[in-house]
Amino acid sequence: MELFHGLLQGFSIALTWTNLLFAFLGALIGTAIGVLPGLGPAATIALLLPITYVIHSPVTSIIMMAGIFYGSMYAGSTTSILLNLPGEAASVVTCIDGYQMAKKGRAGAALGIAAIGSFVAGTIAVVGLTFFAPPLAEFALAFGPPEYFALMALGLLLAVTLSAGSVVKGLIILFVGLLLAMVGLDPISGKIRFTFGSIGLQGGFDFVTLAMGVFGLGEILYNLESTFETEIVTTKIGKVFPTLRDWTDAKWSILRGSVTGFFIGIIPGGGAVVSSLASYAIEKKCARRPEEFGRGAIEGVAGPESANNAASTSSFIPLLTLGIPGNASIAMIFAALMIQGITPGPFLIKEHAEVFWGVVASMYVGNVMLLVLNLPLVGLWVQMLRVPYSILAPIIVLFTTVGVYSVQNQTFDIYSMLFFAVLGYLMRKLKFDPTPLPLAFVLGPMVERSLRQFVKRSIQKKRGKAGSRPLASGKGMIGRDED
Amino acid sequence: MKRHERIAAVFVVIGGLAVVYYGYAVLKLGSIFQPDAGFLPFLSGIALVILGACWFVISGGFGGDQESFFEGGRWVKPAMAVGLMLVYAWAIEAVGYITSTLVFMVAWQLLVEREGWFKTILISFLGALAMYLLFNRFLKVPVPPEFFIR
Repeated sequence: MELFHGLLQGFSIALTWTNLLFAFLGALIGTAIGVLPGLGPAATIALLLPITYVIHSPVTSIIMMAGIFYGSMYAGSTTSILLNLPGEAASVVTCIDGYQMAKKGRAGAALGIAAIGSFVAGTIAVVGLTFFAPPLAEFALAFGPPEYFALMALGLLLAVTLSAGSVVKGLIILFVGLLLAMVGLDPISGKIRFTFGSIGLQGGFDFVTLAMGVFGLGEILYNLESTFETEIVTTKIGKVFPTLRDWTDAKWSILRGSVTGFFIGIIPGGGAVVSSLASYAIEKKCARRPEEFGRGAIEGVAGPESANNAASTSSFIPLLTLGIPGNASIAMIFAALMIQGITPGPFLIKEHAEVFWGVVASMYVGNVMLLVLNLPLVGLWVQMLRVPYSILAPIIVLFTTVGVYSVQNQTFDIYSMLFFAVLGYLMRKLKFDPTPLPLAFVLGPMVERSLRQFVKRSIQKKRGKAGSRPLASGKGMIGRDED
Repeated sequence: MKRHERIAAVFVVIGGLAVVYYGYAVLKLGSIFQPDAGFLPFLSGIALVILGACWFVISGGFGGDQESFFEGGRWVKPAMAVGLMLVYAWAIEAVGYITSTLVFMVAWQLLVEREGWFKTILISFLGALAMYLLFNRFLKVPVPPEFFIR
C-alpha cells in the first residue's frame, strides 16, 4: 500500500508542467545523442552537469539526466540499423541483424521492433524498479562500514572486469581514479594530500571538471584524429509498425531481453553493453532458425535492444538504494544528486521520497515520450546526421569551457578540465576504457572512509575479544596509538 | 604490442613508486589500529607498480614491435586543439568572454578544421552568439566583461 502511495506521489510530481518539460528535454537530447555517433550519454550528462547548479530542484535535474540516459539507449539503434554505424556502444550488436534487415528493405520493421521492444523493456524495468528498490533500501539500512567496503570493492572490480579492454588496464584506471579522489583534504585526519602547494587543489578535483574533461573533451580530442564522413541516407525506411509475423517472432525475444537486461543492469559494471551482448547470445541459442542470425533475424534486433533499455533503467537500483553507481552515466547522475545536496543510498527513499518516486514516475512518462519521439520521427533523426562534426566539435568545446567556468567563476577549473581532457585522450589512444575512472573517483572517499573505519574497528574488536578484558585491550590500543 | 604501450607502462611504474614514497614518507601510514592519510595512497601505489609491471610484460617487455605513438601525425590536430583551449582559458578573463570566444572560434575553424573564410566567420559568429545567449541570457551565468569596457 505504501508503495502505491509513493508511486501516486511520484506521478503528482512527474506530471507537473516543469518536470514534464525537463523529462521531454532529457528524452529529446538523449535521442539526439543516441543517433549521433561520437558522443555518448556519459559525455552528454557530463557536459550538462553545470546546468544542475542552475536548476534548483533536485527532482527536475535528475529527471532530465535520467531521460538523457535512457533516451540515448532508445535511439542508439537508429544508425546501427540504417548505416551499420552504432550510435551507442550498447547498439553495436544491433548492427549485425538490423543492418541486414535494412539492406533487405525491412529497415522500418527493424526500427519499429527496436522502438517497441525498448518501450516494453523500459516499462517492465520501471515496474521492477518500483517493486525491487524499496525493500533493497530497507535491507541496506543495516549495512555498516565492512559491508559497504565489500560492496563498493565488488562494484569497482565488476566494473573493471565487465568494461571493454584488458583487466590490467581497467585496474590501472581504477587506482588512478582512487588517487585522484584523494587529492585535497584527508576526510579523517584533515591532512592535505597531493596538492604540492597549490591552493586550488586543496578542495580536491571537482567531479564536473573530471567528467567533462575525460568524457566530453577527451572524446572530442580523440575524434579529431579521424574525419567523420557524413553519409547521405538513402535506405528506404518503409512501414515502422511490425507485421503479425514479426510480432510472433519477436515477442519472446523482447521478454527475454527485458528480463536479462533488468538483472544484468542491477550488477555494478553490468550495464547496457553487456546486457545487449548477453541477450544476443541467448537469442541465438533459443532461436528456431539460428542460421538466420547475421542475415537479418528480427530476434537479433528485438532482444538486444530490449535488453539495453531494461539495463539502463535497472542500473538506477544500486544507485538509488545502495548509493553505488554501476556505470559511467550513472556516476554522472550520482554527481548531479550530490550537487543538489542529496546523498544517494538507503536513506534516499526515506529522506527524499519525492526525489525517488518523482524520478521513478517520470520514467513511465519518459518511456511514452520516447515511443512518440522515435517511431514517427525516425526520418527526422536520421537527417541530424548531416550536421558536420566540424561544427559540433567547437560548439561542444565552448559549451564545456563556459560550463566549467560558470560553476565557480575561476579559470583554474578550465585548466583542470584540460588536464583531464588530455588524460581522457591518452586513455583512448592507449585503448583504455575510461568507465572505471569516474566510478573510482566518486566512490574513492567512501571506500577510504569505510576501509579505515573497518580496519580500526575490527582490530579493536579482535583485541577486546582476545584479551577478554576490555581494560587491557584498551591499554594496548593506547600504547599502539602512541607509536 | 606497440612501443608506446611499453613506455606508458614504465610511466605507470614510476608514478606508482612516487606515490608509494609519498604515502610512506610524507603522509605517513599510521598504525594498523589507526591508519593515517598515507595508508590508501601507499596501497594504491603498490598496486600501480605491480599493474604497470604486468602491463609492460603483456605489451611485449623489451621486445615487440616498434610502432610509435606519434606516427602518421594524427596527434597534430588534438595538440593544436589543446593549445587553443589553453590560450582561450587564459583569454576568457584577460580579454573578455565575447572577444575571446570569437577569436577562439575563428582560430579553431582555420587551424583545426581547415575551413574557408566565409564558413569560418559564419560558424564563429553564430557559435559565439548562441553560447552567449544560452549562458548569459538564458542561464544567467555571469561571464567576464570585455577588456575595452572595464
